[in-house]
Amino acid sequence: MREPAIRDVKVPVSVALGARNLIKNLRAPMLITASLAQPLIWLVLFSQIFRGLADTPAFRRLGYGSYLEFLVPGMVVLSMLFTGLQSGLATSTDIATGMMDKLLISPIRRSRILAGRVMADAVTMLLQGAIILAAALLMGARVRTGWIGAIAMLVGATTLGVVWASVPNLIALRTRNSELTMVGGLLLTLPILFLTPAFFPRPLLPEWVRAVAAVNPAAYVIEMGQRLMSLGTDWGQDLRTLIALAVASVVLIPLAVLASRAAAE
Amino acid sequence: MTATTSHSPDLPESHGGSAAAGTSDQGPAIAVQDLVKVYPGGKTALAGVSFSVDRGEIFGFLGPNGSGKTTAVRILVTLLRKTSGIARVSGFDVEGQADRVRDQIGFAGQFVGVDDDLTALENLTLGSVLHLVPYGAARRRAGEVLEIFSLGDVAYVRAARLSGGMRRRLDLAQALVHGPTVVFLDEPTTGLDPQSRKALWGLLRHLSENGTTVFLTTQYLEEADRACDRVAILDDGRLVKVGTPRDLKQEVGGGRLMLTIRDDADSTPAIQALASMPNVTRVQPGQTGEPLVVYVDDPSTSAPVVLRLLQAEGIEVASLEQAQASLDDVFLRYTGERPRVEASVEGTVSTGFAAVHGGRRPH
Repeated sequence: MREPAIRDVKVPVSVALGARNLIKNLRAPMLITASLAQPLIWLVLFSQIFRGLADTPAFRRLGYGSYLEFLVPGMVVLSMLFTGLQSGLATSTDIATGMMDKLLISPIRRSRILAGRVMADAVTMLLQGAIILAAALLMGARVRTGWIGAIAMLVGATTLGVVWASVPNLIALRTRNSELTMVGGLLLTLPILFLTPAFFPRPLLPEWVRAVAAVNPAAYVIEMGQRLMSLGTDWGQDLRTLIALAVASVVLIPLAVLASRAAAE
Repeated sequence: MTATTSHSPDLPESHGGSAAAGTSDQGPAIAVQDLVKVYPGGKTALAGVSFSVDRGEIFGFLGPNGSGKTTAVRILVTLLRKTSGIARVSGFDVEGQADRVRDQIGFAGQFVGVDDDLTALENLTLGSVLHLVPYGAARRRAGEVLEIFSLGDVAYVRAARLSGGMRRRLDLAQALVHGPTVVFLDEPTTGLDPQSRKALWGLLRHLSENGTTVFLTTQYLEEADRACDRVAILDDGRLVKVGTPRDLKQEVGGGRLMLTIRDDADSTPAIQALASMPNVTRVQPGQTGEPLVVYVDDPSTSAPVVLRLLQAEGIEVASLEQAQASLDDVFLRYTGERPRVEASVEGTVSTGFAAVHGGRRPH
């Protein structure tokens, strides 16, 4: 044997599956690279294009440091949304290759399969968020609330990303088709991002967009990030963000769990 | 090396107490009664199928394309819900006790279910870990099983870079790595070269001698003939025949002679003459240019008799070929000889059979 001493560690199945999903992300990094590259490009482009916005009195009155700082949370969330889509694609690939059958006939709880997926997604999203934030810092952005604020922003966005990943996974499990998962996920991703104050502060948005943003969990997470970047914490608002995330989880995660149970149809 | 004495290719025994203790001791490994599957679209894939498979048996499921073989397998491995009927594996109900069933089984489907981004070793290790084997043991076992499947050299190669045959072998290894008591293999030899096929049959035989039950579907009747203890023939969602290959073959007669009469001759007198012979079970006229098939009890003793008889009748024989009855004959007899419409490799094979045998149902 080439490797004589491997200890008999009892690895939880969900951790093993999480590791497997992460290994796949590392070895076939195309999709992950894409879901990181897009927000990075947008970060550079939009922070230049909309630079002038920061000089308008309406924007300046709100107290954000610069347009770049204002834009960072939206781009962090965008990368999470893309990675959530990629998570659904990975599930549909597993279905297409017969890997899902292998998982389904093994004596493990169905929830372990989802847990493994969530673990890999969360790690990937945190790393991506950190990379985008680091790029913004290099471009001159500052986080007013310091390390704690930066971590809180990344954790909030990651939570949103993981909850959102239920949707592409749900499509994948229901349709068992990667094209549909891709198209469905993409069609939903951009509206979810644009119907938030990711690019324009809430007071500058049209009435109807504000109305939609009020029920869009991504809006809450992005605004929390924007406060953490430039304004400082606002516990009342942050609590509402938590509630929005909790509501989204309660609605979306059970749907994905049910779909994964029904996968053996 | 590990301490195993490897006198013969040993796969891991069924894993540990929980599974073994969970088996209900005396019953059959697989028990199916009146199994019905109607798909949501209304297509009936299984129309009331009943059979049982004993422990340690190698049981072959044969049938033309679309006959319901894969549906049956997927119900038994808990991947598909049945419409009605009873299906039990190791005494456990496939729906009510799906988790207990999953404890017992290994499965390799028609499509290769390996992870392209993982190495061969990682794939197999994951296979065991999914069956709750601790990581270290899983990895050691994976290494051993790779050797058995002649994949030791590619242990550290990603599955995407393996040849089709190797991927197939890896898939089969994954079905067996955790030491299941009942193994389901859906067309396991498809895509394997002759050596690998032979090795697989040897391995399955070895497993069955050690008490593992093997349930497989195949299109290779010759293999089923040699390798299976019993076979079942499925047609249009119904079991048309179950038995040992030997019994089934005896039912269609011991063998056949394929005669080609000289071109300008009319075959009617030949058929009449042959049909009156005592040892002839059945004569099947061929279409123009095709041989006449004569089913006889013993082809080697009948051949000279048939030749003499035809000579006496003044009928010139251009060629004579003899063959022992094969499962092909049984298969064609019970499933008819219509070509199947499915667009697949096997579909063309079926069409070939139909052409050779005149494209009509006997009797």
